[in-house]
Formats: sequence, structure tokens, C-alpha cells
Amino acid sequence: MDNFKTDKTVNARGYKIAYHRQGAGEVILLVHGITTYSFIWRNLINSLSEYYDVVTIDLIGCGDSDKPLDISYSLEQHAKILYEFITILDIKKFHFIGHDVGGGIGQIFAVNYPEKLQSLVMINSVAYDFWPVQPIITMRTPIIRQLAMATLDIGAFKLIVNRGVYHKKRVSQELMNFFWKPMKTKEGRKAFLHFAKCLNNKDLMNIADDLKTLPMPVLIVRGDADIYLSSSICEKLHDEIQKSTLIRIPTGGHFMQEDEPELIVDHIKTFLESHR
Amino acid sequence: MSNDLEKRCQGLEKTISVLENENDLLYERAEETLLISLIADIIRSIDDRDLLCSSILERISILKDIQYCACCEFKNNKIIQNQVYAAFSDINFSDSEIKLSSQVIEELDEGLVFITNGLCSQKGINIDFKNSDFDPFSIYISPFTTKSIPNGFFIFADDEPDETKLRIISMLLQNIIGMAVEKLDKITLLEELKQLNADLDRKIKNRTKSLIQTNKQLTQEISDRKKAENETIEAQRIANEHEKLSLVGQVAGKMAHDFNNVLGIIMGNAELSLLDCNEPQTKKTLELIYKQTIRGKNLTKNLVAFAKDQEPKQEFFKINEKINLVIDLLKKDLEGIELIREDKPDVPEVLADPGMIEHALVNLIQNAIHAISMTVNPKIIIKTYCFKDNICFVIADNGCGIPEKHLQHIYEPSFTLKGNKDVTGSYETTIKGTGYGMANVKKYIDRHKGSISIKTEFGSGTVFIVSLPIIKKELSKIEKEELHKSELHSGYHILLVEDEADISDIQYRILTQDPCNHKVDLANNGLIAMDLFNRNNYDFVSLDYILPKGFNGMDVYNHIRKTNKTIPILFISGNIEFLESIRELKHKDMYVDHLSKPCKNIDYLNSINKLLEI
Repeated sequence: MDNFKTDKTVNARGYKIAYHRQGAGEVILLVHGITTYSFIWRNLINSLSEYYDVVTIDLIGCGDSDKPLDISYSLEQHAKILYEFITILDIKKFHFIGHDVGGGIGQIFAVNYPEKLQSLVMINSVAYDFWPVQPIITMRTPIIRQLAMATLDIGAFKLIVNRGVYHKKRVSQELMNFFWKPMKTKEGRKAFLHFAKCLNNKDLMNIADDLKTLPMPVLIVRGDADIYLSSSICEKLHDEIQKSTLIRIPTGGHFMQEDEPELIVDHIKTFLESHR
Repeated sequence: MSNDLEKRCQGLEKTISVLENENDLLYERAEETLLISLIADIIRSIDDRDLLCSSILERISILKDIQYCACCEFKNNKIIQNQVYAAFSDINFSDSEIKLSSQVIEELDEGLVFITNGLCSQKGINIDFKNSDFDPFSIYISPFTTKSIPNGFFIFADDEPDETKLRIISMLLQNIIGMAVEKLDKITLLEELKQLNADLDRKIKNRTKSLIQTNKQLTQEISDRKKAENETIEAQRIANEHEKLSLVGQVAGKMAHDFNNVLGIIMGNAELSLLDCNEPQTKKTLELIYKQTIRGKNLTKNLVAFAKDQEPKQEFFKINEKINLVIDLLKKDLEGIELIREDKPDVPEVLADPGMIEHALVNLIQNAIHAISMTVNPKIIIKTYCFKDNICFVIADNGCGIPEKHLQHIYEPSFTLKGNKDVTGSYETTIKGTGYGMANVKKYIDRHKGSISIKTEFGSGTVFIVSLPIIKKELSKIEKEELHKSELHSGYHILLVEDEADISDIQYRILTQDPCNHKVDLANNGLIAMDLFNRNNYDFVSLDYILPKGFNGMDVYNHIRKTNKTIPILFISGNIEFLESIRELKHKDMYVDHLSKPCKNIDYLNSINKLLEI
């Protein structure tokens, strides 16, 4: 899916939200994390849409969605906009699949709107306070500094991508074009940095207790080659969430959708079918 | 033991903290290096002031995490934000206001301004952040001067409650500002250079253009001057010739008059003596005297005709009818000669002096008759036809012809090949020439602006071709169309002074008819002309020079100029004396021009138009 594009939009809370929808069946919502946007799911959409009604979204400030700077891009805020989004699309129940901070948004969504979720799948997700994000001193945090540099220098950005992918050969020009596209405009760069600065692990700490008793089945997928997020995150999530399943993929980097898309699809399918 | 462990732990923690600090410092340095290199990249690649500033500000903001960075200038007692980068907003800040207290401005004159601890507005710095909740904790202002921005400053504001944040990076910021200022000046210089180059290019182009123009003018002037010189030389030559001929003419005329008296007496007495004489030998002698006096009379007649330099009359007549008349006159001489006439039917009437043309025809036909005096089957062919805008007549004979070496002299007065000059025995011995026949013919044709050419072969015959310009009674269709195309003056009130009815008739017609449509008053002598001029308000005067009844064209001109210095006057004349005086007149009076008779209708109208345009 080299020419992947979000081809539809809705207006949620006054902002344009871009998305793509394909397939039929139970609804799956694919939510990306930071540094990426809907393109990260492009290698999963076709296989998933054979069995499901797949919706992939560009979070506010990302991809083709609006990039206002006068609202917070906190995980809480993203969850609210997502709720509005599925309401507008009249989606009653769905499977939430989140990657990176998308997984964090999934946790908040699952706690706040449990009645909407059939299941929650988290791929290399942030959680608790393991993700070293502190407000105010944001820029002193190495990962955020790296992200800042990356907005100005494609070389620095490629380093981030390269370190996030296990099969280095898959870091192609085409993949870099997807990653770099938002950095080509001042607006895209500003929104990206705004997103980075709005990340606050307080949002996730506040719901840590509520996670334990989530009513829906939860799948945690960990790429063991992810050097950005500690494996303690998935371990703690698995320990604490009662109805959770943990799957580890040794050949998965942080951007494991690039490394093992088929494997991820297989695991999701198996998981969702077993909880039907 | 546990104490030891604790101590070691503390030591290790200390080491870790030192290493962390070092790590931070290294990070800072790496970042600064990256920032400087990114800015160097921009400075290398961007030549647009605004883009350069905005790119630098963005990089500083992102890499040094400064929320608000701007490049401003003092202009007309106001602070203008040329470029702004605000990390917290996507609104355009360029029209938002910055106010600096006089104290801050004074400090800026000294150098950098630092304000921290959230005291910005108290210290007199107010920035409109456009409804954003951004509240600066520290502000750093650095003044700069470039060629295009004489009073500029960079301003950096941040809300992080850290007093040292901006101070720490001030050196780095100063470095970057230095690089930016240098580049901005370079851009200005480049622009100036570009402008200068463009100016130079334009100047060179203009100069080249004007040089080419001047060169052209010079070339034109040189050629004009050469032409004028040649004309002067030619005019001088003609004047000399005229003077000589005029002198010769005057002398010859006077002599001819006296000589005619002498001849008259001789002829009378010879005639009387013949009546009384019965002696055959004496009678024969007296008859010879009588014949020779008649010849002498013819000679003086031609001589007087040549000496007289009168303006040709202008009348319309048919050339072939005139030829018929002359043939009839020379009927006796043409006996025994085969005469062939070829008259083309469409030949229009010629506007010319009938006497002069008749005289020319007599001379030409008589020459032909003389030339065939020794020819076995003598033949003369006379043709009339039109060629281009000319009426042509041809007189050809199959006689003795003219040797080539004499051709250049045949129009000279007193030149003849007949009589005792006939060294080749081409003519019958009784034939004598006056030497003024062809000179007169040439003069007549010239006066009518016509031309004469000769084709001859010694011993085989001679062909004379005379052509006279056609003066039409009306404008042709093509001439009318051309006049319509040009900016034609029409509807003027014109005084037309012309005594010859045939000419005034034409001029009146073409002036009053379409496309000119002038109102024309006609005067056929000077007196009437002056009277009409006194009583009317004319726009233009068409003035013949030779006029009857005491007042000529010059008299009329002088009368007009007494009261009106600028009314255009077109002289029409063929008089040689006048041609000399008009040249001087034209220098003095720019509202005067001249056309020599006979003139073509279109030339007449064009001359009038030209004068009316002044």
C-alpha cells in the first residue's frame, strides 16, 4: 500500500479529522502514536479488512487532520476527540488497537468509555510513568530533544526511524517519505512539537488503578527489539490487567508494523476470534 | 560493612551525578553544534530576507526551546515585527504590537537587554501575544544594524521559570545573530549589485541605442550634406551655364535684331534689283543673294527663339493633331519620302506650350528630312503613345545617322553637322544648319519636365524619342485612395492665383472636389488676387509667379506678408530667375514652398498638405 492516504474527513469538536475506512464486519479502530500517523498501519489494513471493518485515523495535529495550537494534545484530549469521532460515524462498539502513545489513549478510552470497546490491543504501548515524560522540563528529556532535532534534520529523523525498526532493510526511501512528510511544513513541525510537549504521564498514572479491572479482553503486543520503550511496561500491564494476554515478538522494533505486519495481523485475528 | 557499602554507594552516586552533568553538557554542546550547522546551512542556501529570518528563528526556538523568537525593527516611531516564530501559536504575529519603554530603548542603545523573573511588563516590555496565555518569564533583546534595517533587534521570550536559561545561551544567540546580520548585509549588497548591473545594462542599452541613433543621424547628415554640396555644384554649373547662355542670348538677340535690319535692307534691295535686271548672270547673282538673306532670316529667327527664355504657356492639346499640323506645314519638303504614322488611340491631351512643341516638332522632322537627303528609299516614322505617366512621340528616319563621337554635343547651341561641317558627305550640299535647332528642342522639352533620348547608328538612321509628363485633369482613383489614407487636410479656404485657364481649371477642380473639399476663390491676375486677399480670410494661397497686368506673384506675396506672416503660400512657376530667388525666400520664410511647372496633381496636393501641417 505505497500510495496510502486518508480519504475521508469528519468534523469533531470543530476540527477536521482525517481517516480511512475499508472492509466489513466488526469495527477495528487503528490509532497511531507519536512520530507517525495513519500510514503506519498501511501494511495491515488490507489483511485486516478481509475480516473486519477497519478504520484508521490521523490524530489531531497529525497527518492530514487539523493542527491547531490552541488546544492541548494530551492523551485525555485525544480520547475525547476519538469518542466524538466514533459517535459521528455511529460506531456502537469496536476493537481499539493502539500503538505507542496510541496505546496510552486506548487505556484512557477503555477506562472512560468501557461500554464502547469490545477489546483493547496495545502494540509497543506507553503506560504508567515508565515513559520518561515530565511536564515543564520536557525539552531536557533526551527523547523529546531528539524529536526536536528530528523536525529540522532528516538525518536525525532517519536515525530515530532506523533505531525503531528491527529489519533495517525495510527503512526505505518510501518509508522515510511517509515519516518526513509532516516535517516539510512549519505548521506540521509546530504541531508535532506541540504534541510532544503535551505528553504528560500524569494522564496515565491517574488511571493506573482503573486498568486492573478493565471489563474487555486486552492484548499486549511487545516487540522485543523496541529500544525506546522498556519491556517493564508490557510486563507491568500484563501483571496488572486481569484479562490480558501478552505476546512478545523478538523481531519487532518500536515500529514493528514495519517489521512484522503479517505476524501482528495473525495475532490480532487469533486474539479477537478467541474472545468472540 | 554496611557503612562501607553506604559510602561506596554515595561515592558511586556522586560519580553518576558528575557523569550525568557531563553528559548534559556534552548534549548541550552537540545541540549547539547542530544548531550552528543548521543555521550555516540556511545561510548558505537562502537568499530571501524573510525566509532567512523565519528559518533561523524557528531553528533557535525548536532546538533551544524558546517559545517566542522575533526579528523586529524601529520604523516611523513604531516597532514592526518583521518575522515571528511563536511555538505556542499558529496565528500570524506580524501585526501584533510590541511596546518598549524609553528606559528599555536607552538600555538597547547600550547593548543587550535581559529581563527575567516575570518582570517583563513591569520593566516596560509589552508584547501582544494575541489572546494566547503565554506569559514570558524571561526576555532577551539583542540590537543589530544592517544596511536594510538600520534599527533592528532580535527578541527572545520564554515562559520557563528559569533565570539562567536565556543567559546561558546568549553567546550562542549572539553568534547566530552575527551570522544572520552578515548574511542580511550580503543579500542587500547582492541586491544593490543586481540593481547596479541592471542599471548599467539599461544604461548601456540606452547609450547604444542613442549612439546608433546618432550614428544614423550623422550618416544621414553626411549624405544630406554631400547631396546638398552636389546640388550646389550642379546649381552653380547650371547657373553659370544659364548666365553664359543668357549673356550669349542677350547679345545674340540684340545682334539678331540689328542683323535682321541689315538683312531686310539687303533683301529689299536685292528684290528691287531683280525686278530691273535683265542680265542673266547678274540676275543669278541677285537670286543667290536673295536666297541667302532668307536663310539668314531663318537663322536669326532660331537664334532669337533660343535667346528668349520665356515661361512655357500651359494649354491642353492633342499631340497627334499638332504633328498633323507640322506635317502639313512641311508638306513640300516631305515629297518623295515614305511617311509612316503610328498613333495609339488612348493618348490623352498634353498640357504644354503649343508654340514650343510645334517649334520642337518642326526642328525634329526637318532634321529627319535633312538626314534622309542622300538615302535611296527615304522613310520617316512618327509614333505617338503613352508609356507609364508620359506622353511619348517618336520621330525615326533611315538616314545618315550621327557619328557616336558627336552625340554628346548635339544639344549644344551652334553645333551642327550640316553645310561646311558635313565632312562625311552625309547631307545634300544645299542643306545648311543653324546649329540652334536641337538646342531649342532640348530647351523646350526640359522646360516641360520632359525628356529626350536618341538612338542612332551612323549610316543607318536616327530615332528621337520625346516624352512629356501627363498632367491629368483630375485625380486618379489610386491617388484619391492614397490621399484618403494619409492625413489629408480638407475644408480650408484657399485663394488660387493662376492666369492660365487650363491650369486653374484643373487646380480648382482637384481642390474643391472629394477628397479635399476646399473652398476656393480664383484670381487670374495679381490685382484681383490682392483684392480678394484683403476682403477674405484665407487659410492658404496657391500663387502663380508669372501673372499678367503689372503685378507678378512676388508682388502678391509681398502684399500678403504685410498683414499676414504665417499664411502658407505655395508658389507655382517655371521661371528660371524665380527659381534662384525662391531658394533665398524659403530660408527666410518657413511658410513658403515652391513647385515648378508643370506639376503633377498629386505633387501639388502633397505640397499644399505639407505646408498646412506646419
